[in-house]
Amino acid sequence: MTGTELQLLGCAKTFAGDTKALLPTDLVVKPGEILGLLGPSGCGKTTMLRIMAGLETPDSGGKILFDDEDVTKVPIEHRSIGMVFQSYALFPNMSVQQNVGYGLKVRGISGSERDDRVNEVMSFCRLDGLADRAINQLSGGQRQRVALARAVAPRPRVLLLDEPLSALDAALRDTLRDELAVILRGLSMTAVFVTHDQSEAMAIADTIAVMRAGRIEQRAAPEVLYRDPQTDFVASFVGGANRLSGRFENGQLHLEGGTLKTGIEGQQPDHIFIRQEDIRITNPDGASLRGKVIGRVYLGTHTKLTISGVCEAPLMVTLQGADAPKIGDLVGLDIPANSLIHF
Amino acid sequence: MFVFLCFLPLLIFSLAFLALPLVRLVSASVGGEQGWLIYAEIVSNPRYMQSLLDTVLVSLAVTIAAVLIATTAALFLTHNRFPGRSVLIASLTFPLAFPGVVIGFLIILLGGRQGLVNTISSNIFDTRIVFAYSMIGLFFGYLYFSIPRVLLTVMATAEKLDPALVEAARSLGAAPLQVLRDVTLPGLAPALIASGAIAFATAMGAFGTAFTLATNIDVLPMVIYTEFTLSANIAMASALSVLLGLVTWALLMFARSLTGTSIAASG
Repeated sequence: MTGTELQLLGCAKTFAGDTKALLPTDLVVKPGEILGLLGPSGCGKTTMLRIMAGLETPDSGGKILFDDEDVTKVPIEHRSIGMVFQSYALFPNMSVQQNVGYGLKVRGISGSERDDRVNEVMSFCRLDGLADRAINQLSGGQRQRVALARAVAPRPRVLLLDEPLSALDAALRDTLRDELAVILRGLSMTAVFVTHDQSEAMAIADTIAVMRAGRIEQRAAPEVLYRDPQTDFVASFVGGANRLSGRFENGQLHLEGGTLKTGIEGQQPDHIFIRQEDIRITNPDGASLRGKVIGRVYLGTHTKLTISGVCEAPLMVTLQGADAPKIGDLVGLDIPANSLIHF
Repeated sequence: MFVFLCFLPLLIFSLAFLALPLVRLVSASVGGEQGWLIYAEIVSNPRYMQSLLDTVLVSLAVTIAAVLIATTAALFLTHNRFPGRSVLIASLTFPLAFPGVVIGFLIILLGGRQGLVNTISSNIFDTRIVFAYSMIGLFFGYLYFSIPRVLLTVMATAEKLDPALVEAARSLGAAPLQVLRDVTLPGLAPALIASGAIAFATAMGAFGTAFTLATNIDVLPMVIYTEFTLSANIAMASALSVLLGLVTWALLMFARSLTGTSIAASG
């Protein structure tokens, strides 16, 4: 892989009024790796991105390294990063071509070299034929690609993206998410992006750092994060797993709606979760675990059910196909012991 | 019908307070013995033309200086928070409340024969510096009341500029002056044009300050006053007023068209 290795060493950020936006954090992003910073608002993910960019300085003691170079005190304009902003922040007084070429222009690259680089980047970001357009004549998706092209045209060492898809319509977001993933992978550039949407993080990132309250809860590849969460927050935030809380006795979990054989030997684990798609609906007669359907959302490829009376919080179940039970139906639930997530 | 009713107040207002007095003014200007030839007389009179030129020049100088000073101050005040900031902004906008006479008086206190500058320079350097009763005094007086007008407009716009635009330019490697030239000033352009136009028009028509400083100052509003009160030449006073209005309007239109095309060309 080509690219720059990005390292944060003991980076923390305390804002005025003693607000700890980021607790001391170590993080390594390998050359060419695409890292997603995932978490709810206020978890410190944007602060971390802005520290990488040089828009915020870490509290004293924190260090940022690009390969072996300490860039902690290097201001953003000399750090050689590319940044895509949430609002895209395209220059309204410049055409698409002028926007994309701006980073080259201020670096003093002119003439044919600049034109060639701009054309190359624009065609890579599928912006052919839009060179002379004004920014206000572009669609949301085009704006996003202009912002990306502008950020990568000067060949930055690290590409940073702040919620790159959140300014788009929901309908457009899925398509553009996949497109962005393809473009980013094609760039083979070290990239860090911030998102609060787990499906976005999973689609784009090589590894995801799930953040909460100023710290990284878990950093892993998407499938590891999904299959093997290390904290209860990761389990419920990534993929929306159901927490099963009840009385644990001899490998059995006694819930409000019945009893579940867990296959867990020895001590009671702190947390037991089950994924929405791992629950099967059965006939309520003779089922060891029962509940009542109180919500049903048909989504074409699958149906989402909300089932009450199983444990404290309503259980969320995702079923393939359309022949799901109706609201008010009593259902039996089959929860396979080997699908349980416990730690 | 309803739309017409909504339009009616504006129509009445425009007719009663804008169109009618203007028509009256024009008809008064040609009501004298020479009729329309009075305008030819103005153009051929070097004293009138010189005073028109002086008025335009001092107004232009005031506009440029006010926009430069107020924009710098507005950008500083928008981006920095410090104790006493709101007090400072309030005191910067204080001159808005002063009539021209008071501003003229302040200039005399500063640059008059017994003024602060002259007292200091006479005592220390043994040189007399008196500028209050000249175009320089007028320039400072106009500048004093133009700055708050520009400052408030530019600050309102600067606060609405997306800070991410500046951050984006910096992330692409732009130095502070490049950011100012390529991002901040284009973003402020509409406010600079609007407030510059107000500063210019106000300076063109300002009277109280010039009247207070008097003596060596021959700006057009002063000439109009002299024609009207001392010579009782109502036709000439009216004709000069029409001229003042037309020249101001034409220059503002010209400035607007210049900036309009340059903005369209860069966008």
